[in-house]
Amino acid sequence: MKPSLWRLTLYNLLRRPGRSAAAALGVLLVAATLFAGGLITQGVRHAVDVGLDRLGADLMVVPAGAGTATHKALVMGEPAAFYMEGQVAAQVAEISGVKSVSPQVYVETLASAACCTGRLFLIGFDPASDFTVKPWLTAQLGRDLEPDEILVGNHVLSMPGESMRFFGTDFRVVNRLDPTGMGMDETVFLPVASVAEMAQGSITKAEKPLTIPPGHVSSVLVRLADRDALGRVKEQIEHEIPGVAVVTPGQVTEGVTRDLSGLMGWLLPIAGGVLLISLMIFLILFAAIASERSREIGLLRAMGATARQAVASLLGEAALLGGLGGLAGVGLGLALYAIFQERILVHYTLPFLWPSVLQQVLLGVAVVLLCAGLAIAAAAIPAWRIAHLEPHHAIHRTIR
Amino acid sequence: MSYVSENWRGLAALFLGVGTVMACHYFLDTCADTGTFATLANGSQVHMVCSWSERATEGVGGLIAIMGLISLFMKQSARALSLAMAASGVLMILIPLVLIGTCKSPMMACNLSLKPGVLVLSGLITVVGLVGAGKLGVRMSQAKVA
Repeated sequence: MKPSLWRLTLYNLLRRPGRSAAAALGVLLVAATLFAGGLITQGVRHAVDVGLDRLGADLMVVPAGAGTATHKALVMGEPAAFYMEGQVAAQVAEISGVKSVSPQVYVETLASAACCTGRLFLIGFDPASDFTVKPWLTAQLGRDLEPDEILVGNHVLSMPGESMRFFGTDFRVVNRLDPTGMGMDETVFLPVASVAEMAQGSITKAEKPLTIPPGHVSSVLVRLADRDALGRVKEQIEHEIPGVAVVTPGQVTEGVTRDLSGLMGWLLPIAGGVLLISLMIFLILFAAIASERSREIGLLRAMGATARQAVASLLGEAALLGGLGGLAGVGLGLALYAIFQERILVHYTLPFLWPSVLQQVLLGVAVVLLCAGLAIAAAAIPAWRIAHLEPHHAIHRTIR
Repeated sequence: MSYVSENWRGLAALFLGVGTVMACHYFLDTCADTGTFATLANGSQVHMVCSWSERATEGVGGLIAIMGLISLFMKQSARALSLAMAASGVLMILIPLVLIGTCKSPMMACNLSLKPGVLVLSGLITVVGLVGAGKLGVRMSQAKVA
């Protein structure tokens, strides 16, 4: 479209600002819902990919009945404390197809006295066999943790060098882990021997002693020699070791997908409903505009404008309305999601890691283009009818 | 022109101001509302930072309601009061984000309830204030031209 036609288009939109704003408002709501939905879906998938990759385990063996608590701890970092006999680790290691195992001990802290940490989830890992924290430790620190040192997840408020007190024992934060968007971000990692010392010390130092049955562990992380054998090894563990349950990354992903579909279950029908209403508004609006402006377009054509230019003027109006409404909607969707992010994630037990800026921009552009495209499609029929009217007909009659 | 369409700026300010006070007081949770307090070294429990954000927001909400009332009775001040309402909205945005803040952990009750609620209300107040002032500005410039 030539610059003069853009000016004409803009002038036409501003001629009836209320009508234009009403049409743009519908598009804005569609774009906001679509963008927020797309952003959440992308962020949840990103978090699951990064989180499970960081966990590094092909399977997790936990006490029977602790599956839900494990899911919440893995996904949201919700503190959990359950225990099973420590010999389970050795039993799992003996099963064919298992490459390595690493036991972990879970501790739920007391509510922190200092503002505002709340309860925290502590994981005691075995430095000799660990494959979740150890690779990161080796790369970033180049050494093992001392007994009074801890690593904290990215969302834990303490900074490196600061100290944190759990059950009366002081620990020094050595470093913060990179964000994963999963429960690991809310977790504190320390050597399993430090957990035992802390439990011992809690008898005299803490408000409430930490009780962990001697020789017990909370989970056993398992790495397989061949990932294709996952189903067989899972069945074998559950069959041969009584009182345990096996959690697989697939189950975690399935659980998250189920929770995500709970959110999308109401978000998508809203988007669909608003989309239908917006399309109807656009159809009615552009039918009215075409009818109202057939005389003006007839005159333009009589003065030498081509049918294509007349169509371009109307479709340009639709594209501009759709595009601007879509752009504002993307901004609104982003702002609303940023404001309500924590509430949504907690309510639906969803992990979330912000997608890269490029992915967010691409999603925004896709939503704006979709809005502009739908607006053009809705305006196409009246525009086509105008294009096929002879100038003198357009001047002397209105479109019905 | 009906009373509502003539006085919508003042009525909106009154409604949003009172709404802010009511929402903060009765509906939006601070950590203290859910029974979470900070414990000092001497063992006494005190309100956390979010409680003070709530009180400051209630104060600004009350001020906006008063501006709405003034605007209903002193029509010539409507544009200035709309601008002041928009500025108050920005102030309300800054209270939980910068000036006073909320508790540090994103999972605390105040960050799940008070902060998002206040941000939405203050966004609305800012937009309504700007639209009110803008529309009056257009009307005044048209009157000048005429």
